[in-house]
Amino acid sequence: MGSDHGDTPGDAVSERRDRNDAIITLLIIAASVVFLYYSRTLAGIRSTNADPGTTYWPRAVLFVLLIASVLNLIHIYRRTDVHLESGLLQDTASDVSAAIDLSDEDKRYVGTIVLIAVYIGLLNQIGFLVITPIFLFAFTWLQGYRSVIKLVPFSVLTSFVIFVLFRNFMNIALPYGVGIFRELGLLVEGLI
Amino acid sequence: MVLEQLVEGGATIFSGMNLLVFVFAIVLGMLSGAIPGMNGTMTVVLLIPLTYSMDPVTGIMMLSVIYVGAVYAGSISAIMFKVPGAPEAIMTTLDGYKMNQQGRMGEAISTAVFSSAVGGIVGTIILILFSPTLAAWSMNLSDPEYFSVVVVGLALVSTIGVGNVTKAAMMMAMGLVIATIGLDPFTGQPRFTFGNRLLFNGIELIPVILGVFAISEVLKQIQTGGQMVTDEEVDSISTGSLLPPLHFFKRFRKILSFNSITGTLIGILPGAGATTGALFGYTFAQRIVPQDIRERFGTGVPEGVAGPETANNAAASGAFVPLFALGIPGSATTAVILAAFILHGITPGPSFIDANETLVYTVFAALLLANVAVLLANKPIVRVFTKVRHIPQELLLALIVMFCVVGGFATRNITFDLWIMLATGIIGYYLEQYDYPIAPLVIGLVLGPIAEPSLRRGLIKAQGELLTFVQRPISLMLLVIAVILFTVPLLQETAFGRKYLRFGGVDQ
Repeated sequence: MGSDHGDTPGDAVSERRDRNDAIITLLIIAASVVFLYYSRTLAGIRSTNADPGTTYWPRAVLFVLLIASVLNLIHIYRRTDVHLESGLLQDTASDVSAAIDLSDEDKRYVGTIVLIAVYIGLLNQIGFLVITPIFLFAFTWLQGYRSVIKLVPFSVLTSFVIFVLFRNFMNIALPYGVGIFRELGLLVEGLI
Repeated sequence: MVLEQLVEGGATIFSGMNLLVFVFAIVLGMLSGAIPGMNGTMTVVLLIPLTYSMDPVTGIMMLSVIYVGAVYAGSISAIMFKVPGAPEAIMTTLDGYKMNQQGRMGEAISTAVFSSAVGGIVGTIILILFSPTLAAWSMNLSDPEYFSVVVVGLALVSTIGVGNVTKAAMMMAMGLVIATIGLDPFTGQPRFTFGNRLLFNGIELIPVILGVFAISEVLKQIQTGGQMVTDEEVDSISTGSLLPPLHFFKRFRKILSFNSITGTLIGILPGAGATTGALFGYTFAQRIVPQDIRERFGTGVPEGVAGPETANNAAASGAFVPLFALGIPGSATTAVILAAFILHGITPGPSFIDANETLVYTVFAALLLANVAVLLANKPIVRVFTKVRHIPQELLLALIVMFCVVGGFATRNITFDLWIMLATGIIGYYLEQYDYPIAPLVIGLVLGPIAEPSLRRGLIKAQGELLTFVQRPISLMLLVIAVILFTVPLLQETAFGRKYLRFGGVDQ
């Protein structure tokens, strides 16, 4: 930011917060505009003559969203007019370098998101019964829990109990996976 | 007369297998309410086949008691992990989870259990005494009134986020927009699906709730190195006694009496249900408490737990009024119970109560007993659940994510919902970081599907005339209330408002 800002660490944090806040609002405005534009393709479709039509309600709420977002942007601008004056994307280089210099918590945070994404991505292929113990083990390990003796039975037994409970008692089939994983799931289901 | 029939109904519950079924139903209902992703509706649906072999009285009683148990228990995981066990517990997370983080988990659970039971008992008494009268009253309401009620609900959102009304309005509108994704309820046209067939049925509520509340909180705890459940109770309410905390009657007298009645009335409205009851209950409570408490709403006050919990349980009972009196379900779960009636050859309708006295009064007695049982079990329930403190945080976070995945998947059995959950979790985390309140987004998502059909049906019936919404007195009155509710927080930001319109509230 400009030299008249960010003199203290507190100011710098406040500036970054305001800028990120403005970026979130701008993203919401952009999404509203895209939805409004897309709603053109549906205009005119109605169930009866008196029906206001398919786009009536969505457009009404999109306008509310758009107006509230613009008001919020003005509110942010008034609060931090000089910060935004010098551009939303300034200091990007220092931000990028700050982002690369991740703290342990940041690494854990990113690792957790990746781990959950991998868990969800493989759930249908490998099946709940096999992927869940691996996930539980990896997740707790990532958070710093290091007792393997406790982790292995915790991961395996929890997954087994949940799978059987949902399948055999609540009639909800969690993913079986494919190939050998599916056969394993069917075997466990048949045991009880 | 009514009392005699109730005693007979109670005797039916205590005879033969019925008592076992009653206990099984309340435990199962509580479990399904406490497990994220499972809810009363789902459990009732799953257990309908089990009632085939049962006597209709036993079967319907079981399904009704499951519903009561689930609505009450949804608050427990909301308080412990910020994971609403069922949508009805969304508002309970706001103050309940904050109380837990302040080391007051026991007090929060105790408050939730107590007010749930009181709300449920009052709601059931109203159901028993006034079913036909209330059902006849609800028949006078039509789409304009339903729409206006939703508008009031949406206006109330503005006070949840007082301190930043524009952000609350943004989040509410975003929830309403997300609720429009999928097939248009009138023409069947896909809206905002961008060619993705998985979006034809819209965005499911449960994965979004799990994402914005639970996954985002897990990410927050990991990022900040915080603690989800504090190690010990700072101000323990445990006295060693197993008696229910009867002093709560005095402490929450206004909330208990007001929200029990209004919750029941909201439950009677078709489609509104316990979730809407909880939303209204929270904001009503915010208005009837003294100013010093009002200003701390959202920071972890017991009144913020008692408000929604009283109202949602009262609404759960209220939803039975139109079902029994008219054969019209008041909520999703009562719609499923209606299906069970039909499967057992019972015809719902205006003469239903007279024609099925044994069944009706057994269900009334079961609802009453289930709530009394919850009230009496208050302290033991608190003791059991506060044991969660002994689980290491790492294992707890892993279990929460796993339960979210199971709950998100179980809704429609597709992994697409899990991606929605993860995405909303990450988005929710950043929104909360920058003080965008999450509750209004979820409220928009809940009320949107009620608002649009009511608005369009109302317009169709009035030949497209918008004036219909202000020509009907109840609708007009509700709209005026909505305008006042929405404008007061905006005016508070002006010099006039700062002087004359201060009544508290905090950002969520």
